[in-house]
Amino acid sequence: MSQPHPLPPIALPGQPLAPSPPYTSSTGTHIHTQNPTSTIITASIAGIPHLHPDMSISITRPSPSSSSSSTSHHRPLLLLPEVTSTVLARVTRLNLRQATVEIFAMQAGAEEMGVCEHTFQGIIRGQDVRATEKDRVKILESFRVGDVISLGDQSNYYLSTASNSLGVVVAHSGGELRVTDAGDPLHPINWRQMACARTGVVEDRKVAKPI
Amino acid sequence: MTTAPPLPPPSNPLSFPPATFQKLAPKTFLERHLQSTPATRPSGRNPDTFRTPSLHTNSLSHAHGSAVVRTGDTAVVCGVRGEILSLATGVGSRVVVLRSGEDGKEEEGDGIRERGLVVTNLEMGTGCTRDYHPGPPTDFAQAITARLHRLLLASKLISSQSLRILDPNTEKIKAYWVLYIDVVVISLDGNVLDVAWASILAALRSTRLPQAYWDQDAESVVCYPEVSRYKSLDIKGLAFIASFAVIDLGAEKGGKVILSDPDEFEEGVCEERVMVCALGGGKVGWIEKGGGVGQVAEVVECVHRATERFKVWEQLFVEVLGSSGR
Amino acid sequence: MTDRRRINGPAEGTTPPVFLTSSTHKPVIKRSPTTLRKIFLKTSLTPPATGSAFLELPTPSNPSTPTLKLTASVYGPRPLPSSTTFSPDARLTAELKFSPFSTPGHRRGYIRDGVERDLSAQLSIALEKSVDVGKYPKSAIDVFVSVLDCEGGLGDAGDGNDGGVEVGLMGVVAGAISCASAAIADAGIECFDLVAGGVAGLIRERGGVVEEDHVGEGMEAGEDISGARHGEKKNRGIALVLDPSPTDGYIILAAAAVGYMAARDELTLVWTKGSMGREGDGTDEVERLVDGAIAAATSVRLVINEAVKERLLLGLKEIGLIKEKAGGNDGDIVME
Repeated sequence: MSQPHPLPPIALPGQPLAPSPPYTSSTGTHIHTQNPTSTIITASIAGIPHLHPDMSISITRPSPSSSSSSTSHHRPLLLLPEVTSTVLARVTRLNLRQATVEIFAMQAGAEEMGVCEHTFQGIIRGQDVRATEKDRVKILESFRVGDVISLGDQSNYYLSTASNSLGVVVAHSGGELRVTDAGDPLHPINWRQMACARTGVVEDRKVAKPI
Repeated sequence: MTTAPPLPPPSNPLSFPPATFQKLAPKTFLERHLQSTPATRPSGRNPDTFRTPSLHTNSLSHAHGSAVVRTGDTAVVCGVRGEILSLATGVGSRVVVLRSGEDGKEEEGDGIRERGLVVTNLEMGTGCTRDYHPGPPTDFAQAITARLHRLLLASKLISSQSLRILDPNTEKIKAYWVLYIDVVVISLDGNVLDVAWASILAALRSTRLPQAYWDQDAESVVCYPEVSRYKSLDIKGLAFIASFAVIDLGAEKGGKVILSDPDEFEEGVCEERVMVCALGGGKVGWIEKGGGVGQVAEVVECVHRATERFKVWEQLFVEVLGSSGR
Repeated sequence: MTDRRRINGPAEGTTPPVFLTSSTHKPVIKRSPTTLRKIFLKTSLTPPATGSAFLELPTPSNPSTPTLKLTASVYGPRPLPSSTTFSPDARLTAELKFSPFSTPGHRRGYIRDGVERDLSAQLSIALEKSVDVGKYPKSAIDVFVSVLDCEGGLGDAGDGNDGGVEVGLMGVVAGAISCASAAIADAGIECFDLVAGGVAGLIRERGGVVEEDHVGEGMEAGEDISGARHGEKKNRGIALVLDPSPTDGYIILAAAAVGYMAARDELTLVWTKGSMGREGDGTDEVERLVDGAIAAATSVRLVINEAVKERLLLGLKEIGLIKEKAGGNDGDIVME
């Protein structure tokens, strides 16, 4: 039991990997209590097992998205928004108190921003738009429908943009009114305004430092 | 108005990984791909490249004819099943009055439409893509079904003669075969119409119905069980659909680009569509165009590509089904 | 029942063809009772899905003999529909549909019927406990199974006319469980173990169409459980048949289908039909039947493992993580 436990080169769900007292479970594995005296780490996804210096065992799936696969379908990331994850979301609805958004990409931990297969609905309340002067925030002066926002997650998919790096990253002029048929892209001029490159029109936004 | 210093304008606001960029700005993503030289679609295909089709027939045991067709990540299964519509039994005790011409000298074709002898349906609620759920068909599925059905009737591929069941003594029509054509979409990555149509055609060409006749004593239709007496449908000719999506890059960036056999992503971005139904011998049976203002040259280009595509399908059908289609 | 969203047949109604003489030739039993059929299982055939699999039983030597073909696709974890209430775990739903051309006799309509509801429920029960739903709070995991072809024998009642039970639906459920579990693994959804479906039946040893033909060769397959029971059947005149098919022609007295997690040795589903004796003298038919179904499921599990592994190795090869030697001893999966 005490010598290093050899791990198989690949593991399938349910496959026992190592006894639990010395080893601990990390992503892609599960601790299975066979009986009160014996607990083992089993694989919960198909992939490659890794033993980390802290005696934890994780399993990673190969994600061929890095290679130029001929199909247009990338292996989707099975991610759910978690507290502290940073997400990209598109504003879908606005009212005076909150903005409703559609989360379509997220970043968890040190991994790069990944597109999620399914979109999740999130809400940014007025008091979560920025860190200071919370009571003076006006949603309508911060976002417009169609804007793309990067934000940190609070809880329950209640989202916050209360950080300099978070806020609107892509926006088009005209907002939901769509004065021109396409809407010219806006570029940020300061932390609360964006301007149209063609017409010079300035619109209010809660601007993010681009990621 | 004190804290939070203004941020410097970003140097490159769109420095996202490709997959994120695709979700973020689908149209720009597609445009950038098509502006590269040579113009390449996100899938790696050229604008005029169709996906390679594959075909298998008669793999279903309870259907009289069947076909599995796959192009890229779009795959469908089509089953054809014959059931009998008896003219004599009617509803309850009421005897259905024979319509004019049903004494055996009927005009070609019309019984199919009037009596509903061909029943076409397309099912997408199979988990073939994330947007379709089991339950009643969506508007999109209903629209595709309607088009397939219309095309099938308009093409006159099925002759009503092959669906008649006669009284061997009097040569009178006593019953009809009704063909239930069901297309089940297994995997959907755009352009379901071309694939569904090809599967219907292949399934019809592989269909063999039992030999049936009117048994006067039993007052019902009976069939010979021997497989050797099964008859194939008399399918006349070939017809194949080619669909296109058109995107306008703007006059200074290359103008309009016609994408053959669009995938799901391209269908979602492009508003302009062209559909061409090509017949044998370089003929065209049907053209549909919608969305966007196009020029005749654009349609001509589509027709040209559709006739080329016809040859690919034709060759595949010959390989799998034999030259005569049987 | 008319369906206004679909194209329907003639209002007068149609009937399936009736044949001159009964063409139901007596099927010839070729397979010994304890031989399992080979299964073809392949994953990722529906690329738009998070995970998918296709399962097929081999085409019989007589091409007109029906076989089982089904596809499974998995979506999720995705947000729960807005109508549902909060759930701290993922909710797994399963939908099993027969295609209109998949069943013998009358063409099947599209509207979901009671049989499909029942099988869907069985399927979701069998899969639910294998998935680590706690990892995916307030989200949905949706499993769709489409039956494209089946072997018939879909009678739902406990008894047929000739004193046997029909096992067609059990075969469909067992196949659906195995296929869906492979699809879940293909999706990369965390699960405690994979579930394999297995079916076993009890047949009367003599009489009917079953002769003694299996005694000679039937036990060489090395099936431990049936082998162990071999000696007992003499007293009872009841034999065990693994992976029975409606096309075999057996008169099956009782049958069981199980969903079995082999690595954990846990059952997620048990479904029996027919009447079984319960006796304390070691000839307990319930136990015998379930053990037989587990033996069948255990073999199916090896096929699922191979299919999942095949896809995994393909993925590794694509990104150049493994060299050509990968096919060798890389794949040694030990099941305890």
